[in-house]
Amino acid sequence: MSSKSPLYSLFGLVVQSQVLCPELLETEGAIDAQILLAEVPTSLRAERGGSLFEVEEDRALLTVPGVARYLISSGREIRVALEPGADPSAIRLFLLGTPMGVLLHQRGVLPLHASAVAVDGAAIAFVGHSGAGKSTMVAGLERRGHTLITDDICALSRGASGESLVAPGPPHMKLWADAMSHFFEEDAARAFERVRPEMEKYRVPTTPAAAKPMVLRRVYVLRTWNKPTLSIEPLEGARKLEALIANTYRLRMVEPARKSRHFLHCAEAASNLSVRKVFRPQHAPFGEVVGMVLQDLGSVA
Amino acid sequence: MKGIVWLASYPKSGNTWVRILLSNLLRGSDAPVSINALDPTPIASARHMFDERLGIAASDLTPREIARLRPRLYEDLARGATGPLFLKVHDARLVEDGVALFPTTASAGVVYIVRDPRDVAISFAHHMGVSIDRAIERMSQESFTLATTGARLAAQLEQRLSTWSGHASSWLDHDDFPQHVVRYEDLQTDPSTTLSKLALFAGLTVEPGAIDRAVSHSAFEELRRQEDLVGFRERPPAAERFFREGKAGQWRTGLTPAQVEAISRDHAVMMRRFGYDPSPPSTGGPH
Repeated sequence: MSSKSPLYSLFGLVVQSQVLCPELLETEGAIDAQILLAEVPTSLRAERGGSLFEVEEDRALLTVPGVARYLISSGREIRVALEPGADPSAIRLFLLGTPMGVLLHQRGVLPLHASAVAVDGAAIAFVGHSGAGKSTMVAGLERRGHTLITDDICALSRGASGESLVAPGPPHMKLWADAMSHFFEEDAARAFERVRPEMEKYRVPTTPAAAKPMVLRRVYVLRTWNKPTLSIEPLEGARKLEALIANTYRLRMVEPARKSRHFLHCAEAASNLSVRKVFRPQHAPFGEVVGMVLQDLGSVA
Repeated sequence: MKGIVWLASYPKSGNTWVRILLSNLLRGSDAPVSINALDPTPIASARHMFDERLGIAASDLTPREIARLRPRLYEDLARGATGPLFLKVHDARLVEDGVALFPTTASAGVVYIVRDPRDVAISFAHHMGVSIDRAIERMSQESFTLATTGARLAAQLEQRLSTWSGHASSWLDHDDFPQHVVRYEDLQTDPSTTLSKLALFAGLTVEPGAIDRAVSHSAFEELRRQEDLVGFRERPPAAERFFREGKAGQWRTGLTPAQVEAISRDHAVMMRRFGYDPSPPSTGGPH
């Protein structure tokens, strides 16, 4: 690889990339993983996979039609083969999603489908399906002065005494136009870049979090319900473990041989965390939900 | 049957009721299944199913890209099926860019659930929290779509319904896979026979007494009881309750003559096909 390719700090790794990602933080140091523009086979002929991906023990192939093919190997390398005419923003958007998540799995890091902020010196993560309100939640907290650690993928590694450590993701949030309207005047909102030209979803840069991983203290599982009230309830024991497993990023792309390691990692993480479930009405006034979570966090010892 | 068996219907036509009957039949337990755990029959437009199965997030894709990839999702689901895989669906069976949204190769068959559109209009209005006139208007709109993507992320993928008549036609006017029609009204008058025929169509092995037990576990009073007790997570926020009346023929008192006439004007041909007499009661008798 050309020594000129930039080094980025991402999920606790130094990643050298031939795909230029101006939205990432540049760094220095020994390279952990590389992103290369290179040939990628159209199939691995693997037994396991789905319509758009194939998985082997140390390799996975993801095909995003019209954008690129991504070959992720040994937790050290992502090869990217571009499709003709692919939009650069789409190439980066998908690269920093599933392929990075699979690379983390391959390295034995646990990627949760979560967004996280720093509150009182510890990381607080929010998990849930797309549409559960993860990004809007962390945006609300970020706007109130809590540093964003990551949006969408939350990389957990093991600390010395079994605690989970969160390394920072890209220093930006991805927000739909209606969520933006909670935080920005219309003119200001228009200044942000769209994640893809044809979508009403914007990339909002944030103050970068400290590179040093932060202890994860609590996970909130976000859910909407059809009752008019807000509610928070604690999860205990096996339900905490279930929540971490169910909210693991791209679990179907974990090779079966690695499943037991993933399970143990989740179990260890769960035993060192509090996990609480937040229920809100679909169109709950946004400030109230953030306020309730902050109030709930006041009880964290 | 091996592959996807679509439980297809226009909204408010008894799809949930069929799912509850099927869930009770498939589980075969002594107590009724929870209305909040109808997992044997997920909805085809669930966003997280798309994300998990395909490995990329629908929220990073345009509606057109999603429509092109959904057939791949269903092919993937069908590949893993060892018997009938029931998927609830409200989308019309549309063809985009020459590709069928619900591919023939993934489909074992369709159970098409239909209800008198005059009763659908009343129920649909409650469901969406709009006037009956507005519901009737939407039932005649070719472009009517649920969960449209725009400035916000909807919990489900976009679902284009087409008109009430166009919806039925899209699922029934083809030779691509076997089809079986279930009328809401028949579910009401004779649920056991109706469920037996459905089970036969889907090739389910049914033990003696299983049908009657599933039917009694799915009785309207039981569903209401459960909704009163713990709520129903599929109830839309706009509706006061999901299991509301569960009756057929409410339109006779619930619609104005002008509303009845509007529905007949829009849907007479398809209504006759299912045995719903489109002549307004004031003019009397069938044609």
